[in-house]
Amino acid sequence: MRETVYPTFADAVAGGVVAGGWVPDLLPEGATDIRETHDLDTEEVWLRFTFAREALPGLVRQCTEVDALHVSYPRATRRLSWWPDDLQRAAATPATPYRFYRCPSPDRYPGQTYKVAAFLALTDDDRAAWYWRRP
Amino acid sequence: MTVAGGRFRAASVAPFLVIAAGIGFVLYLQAPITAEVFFNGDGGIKFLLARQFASGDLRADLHFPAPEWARSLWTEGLFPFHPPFVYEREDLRYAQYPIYFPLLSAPFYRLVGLRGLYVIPALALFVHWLVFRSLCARLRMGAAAMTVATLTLAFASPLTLYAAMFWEHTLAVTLAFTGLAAVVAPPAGGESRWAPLCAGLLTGLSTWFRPELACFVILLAALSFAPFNRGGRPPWWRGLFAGTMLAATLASLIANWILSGHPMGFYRHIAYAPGQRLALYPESLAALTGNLLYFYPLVLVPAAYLLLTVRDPKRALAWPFGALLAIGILFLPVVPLLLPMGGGRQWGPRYLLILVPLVALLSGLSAQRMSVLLPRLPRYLGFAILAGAAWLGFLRNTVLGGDRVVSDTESRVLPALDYVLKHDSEVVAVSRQWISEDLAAAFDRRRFFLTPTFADLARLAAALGGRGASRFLYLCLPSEPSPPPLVFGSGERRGRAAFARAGDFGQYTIYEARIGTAGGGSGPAPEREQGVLGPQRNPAEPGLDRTQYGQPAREDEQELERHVLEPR
Repeated sequence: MRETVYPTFADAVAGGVVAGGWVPDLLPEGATDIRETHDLDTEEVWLRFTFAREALPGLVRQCTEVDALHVSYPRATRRLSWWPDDLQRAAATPATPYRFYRCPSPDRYPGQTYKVAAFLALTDDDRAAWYWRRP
Repeated sequence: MTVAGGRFRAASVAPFLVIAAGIGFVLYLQAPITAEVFFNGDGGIKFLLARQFASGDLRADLHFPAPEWARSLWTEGLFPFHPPFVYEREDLRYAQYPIYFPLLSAPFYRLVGLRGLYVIPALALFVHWLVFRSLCARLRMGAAAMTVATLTLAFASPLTLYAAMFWEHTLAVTLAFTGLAAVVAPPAGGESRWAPLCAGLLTGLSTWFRPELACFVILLAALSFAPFNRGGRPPWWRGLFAGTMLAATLASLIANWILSGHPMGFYRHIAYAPGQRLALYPESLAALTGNLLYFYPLVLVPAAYLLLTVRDPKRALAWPFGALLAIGILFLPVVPLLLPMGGGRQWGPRYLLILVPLVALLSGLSAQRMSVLLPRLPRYLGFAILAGAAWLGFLRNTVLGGDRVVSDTESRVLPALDYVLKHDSEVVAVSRQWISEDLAAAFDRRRFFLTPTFADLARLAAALGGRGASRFLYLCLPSEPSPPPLVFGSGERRGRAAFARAGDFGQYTIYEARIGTAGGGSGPAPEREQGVLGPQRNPAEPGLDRTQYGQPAREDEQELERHVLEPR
């Protein structure tokens, strides 16, 4: 596992993490401060980035908003200083500030009904977004 | 006694003594195994297949007897496994792993139970050690060099630990190495015409167990025909050997294609686009190489030998040293192209384990040749590097690895398995399929359901509540959120599930769930549609709502370290 910071989306592309499938192409081209961690063996991804408000419609265009109970939460987030603790507790928090989206993920298993789950969490008063892939 | 000479008869016994000690070490590692818990979750699915075969059910698909209601929930998405471990094909479910290892293990499991699962991994390694010693002898290695090589193979490498794991790696390495031994040096007393057929067949069979060994087979076929081959084999022998080996490999591809629809079988990487495969290559190569250097520092010995003998490369690389080195150097970078991943939970880079005997052989040859080719000072330097690398390998594998394997057997999964089997709940929900794999031993006594979201968990609770069940267990990782109280259904059928944390048991956290009627049940749950599930705001039953949000989770690093063992 390794954690990498990319100042811009272009840097992430240049770093090969988009081609490698770790950073999804749903990220706005103007995304900045991209913090990415992944597990080569399990294909899990933990991602945080910031984006301009006007990019929001494009960001969630391919995703479906879901209730906090319909989210598969990631594991091992305490080692990530940039992962909010309260996101993990959203399902138990009546007034959670997060809105959750289920997003498309690479079709690793053609012909199978199972698809790898990928989620996006946003807040109303923050330009930050959290994305994770949870096999 | 000299390194090159082997003058004393007693010295020639030393490699056998090393092998005997190795057998003792393997038995020590296997001693604490008291239940069907495995070092890697892969073992759980292979065990399910082996048990299925042992019961006389020889169908290749993975299936468990279950009542209709359970099968119905599985069909609706709560089946405890999914890709990349289990694939659906024509309404049947297949494990991603080739069936041959569970199939071979099944008779032993049927005969002697749990211990039978470890017969093949252990016996294969013991045979491998004997074949290795025999090859050393055929290469006229002195007793001391032979002892050093055998010692490093048995005690300074990660391979030995795999004899105490329910895994096919030792078997695959043994089969593949047999072919290498046949190509490199013929037995002194001659051999029958069947020998190349047998050697080729055994080597080709290694690919039935480990797909990455197809690269090794191709390299070995090339080596058998290489103009620099000094193995002393006539052309007919080489042709028969390579032909049989390649035919056996081709047969494995055909068998995979029949069973899975793809010649490489049900492996997730087959869906990788070439661009992505290349993008993943550097990281995968770095992971494999880093693991190899960390867990098997002996790989530095041939490199040091080459540096020290740089003035006389012709003699330094003389047969079979250069050829063996070339196979190793070519094999390493090809594997991550085939398998662009690190190997998961393992001890040492399991995709590269065939390099272990190769490097041990090179180290033995290095030791022998350094004593002949080098003057005193560089020779001592070379021996010091060999001793240092062997000592480091011994510490990391035999000392730390042995301790890890034993403690893993006793404490990673067993506490959770014990809890599940002692608890009277028939139903077990898990947050991840890894947990299903680890608890595979309980599959014949408990019904498992995969519930990655709390909505799935509530769906299960609703189905169980509808059948009059009142309890079930929920297992997740300590770093995953605790399940909130859940309400489901509406009106008369409105129910509630509350979760009480039973504690951490080995790698997993266990919750006891109780299903009841929703308190104050007038109308549907607030802001939830009928049938959609929501967290209950006011749990009614005191004592049940003991879910501990914000509990100090165990260090994530510890959990990650348990999942993937990598050099730090």
